[in-house]
Amino acid sequence: MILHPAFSYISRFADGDLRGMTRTWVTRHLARCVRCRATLTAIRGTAADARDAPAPAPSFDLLDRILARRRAGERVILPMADPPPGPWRWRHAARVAAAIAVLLTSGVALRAAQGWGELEFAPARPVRGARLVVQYHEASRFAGAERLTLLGRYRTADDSVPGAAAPAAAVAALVSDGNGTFRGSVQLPEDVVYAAFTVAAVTGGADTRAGQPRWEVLTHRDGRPEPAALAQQRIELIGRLPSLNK
Amino acid sequence: MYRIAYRLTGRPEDAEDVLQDVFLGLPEALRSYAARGSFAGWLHRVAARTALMRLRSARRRRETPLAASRPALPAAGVVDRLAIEAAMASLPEPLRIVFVLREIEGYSHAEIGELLGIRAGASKVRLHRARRALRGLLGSRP
Repeated sequence: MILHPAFSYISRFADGDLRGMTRTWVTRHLARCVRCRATLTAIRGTAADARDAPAPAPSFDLLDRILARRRAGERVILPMADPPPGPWRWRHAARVAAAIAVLLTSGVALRAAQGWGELEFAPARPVRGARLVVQYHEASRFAGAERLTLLGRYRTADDSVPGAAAPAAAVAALVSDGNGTFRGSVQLPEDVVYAAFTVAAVTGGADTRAGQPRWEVLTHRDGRPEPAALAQQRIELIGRLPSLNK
Repeated sequence: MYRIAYRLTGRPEDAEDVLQDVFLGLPEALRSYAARGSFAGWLHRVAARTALMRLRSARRRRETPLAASRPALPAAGVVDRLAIEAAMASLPEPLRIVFVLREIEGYSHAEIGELLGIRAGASKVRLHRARRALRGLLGSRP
């Protein structure tokens, strides 16, 4: 069975847009396939015919009308600059934001389904260098434990590469109040704008299975997430490591 | 200039309006002519921008060209320049514009991207889609 290149490949070949092995494959195929060669010829032929297709002549009185409008003192401001880039960037940004929201939302749902409990921070909108009061509502997997470890990975505004941030480390101990809640506190370093936390048992190490939950903290200014924090959140999402504990 | 205006707007009356606008606005526009590149190329680009602006404002006003003003496709099997003309006229506007600018007027995808405010890659995609659509409209020919 002969595998013919898709039309888009032949179209891209006609434009000289194909590179590498794909170009070699299409070139060799065209050399022996009459049908695809005809498609290529037709693409080029259509363009040539379109160029040669006669446009209707303008009205014979067009020049008179232009001159009449000029005599009447009419002026037109022509567009001398190209339009700004279309809304695709905003659409793209909206798609990314929606994807992040879906990921985070589904993460919460998964955590709930897997009995991971919930981690809460106060204040909910911390500024840089804030002290966070942490509460962890017991998950079934930590039932009976008296202490848990809060693991954190921090990112500063200067971390530009996924994975460049410091590895997760124990940042606080969470102590059980005997009623299913663990409490503790953690001091955010002054230069940190984004932090990802998870909880692990004190003995036996953290659960390193895939799907381990993470809770994110972004630093805020005037009640809104800092742009640098949002940027680090995106970088973190892109370069998300399999586990916080590696 | 009339040809590119006609190809882009798809209607002789719109093309004439574009041409009138260009000539009426030319004295003012010449002040911003930086004498880089050929004057004909600059004028051509001004005409293209004016035609595209007209299309955009028509879109905002939700104007749709009358079907009668578009040439009808000739009978099946009669494939000639007239058929290509008719097939081009029946392309969706975004595809037709890119096809005209690239295949007829010879603009690069980067230039088309600047004119339309889109990425060069988007221009390439639209060109492939236009070719594919023309292929469907013209039968065995793309």
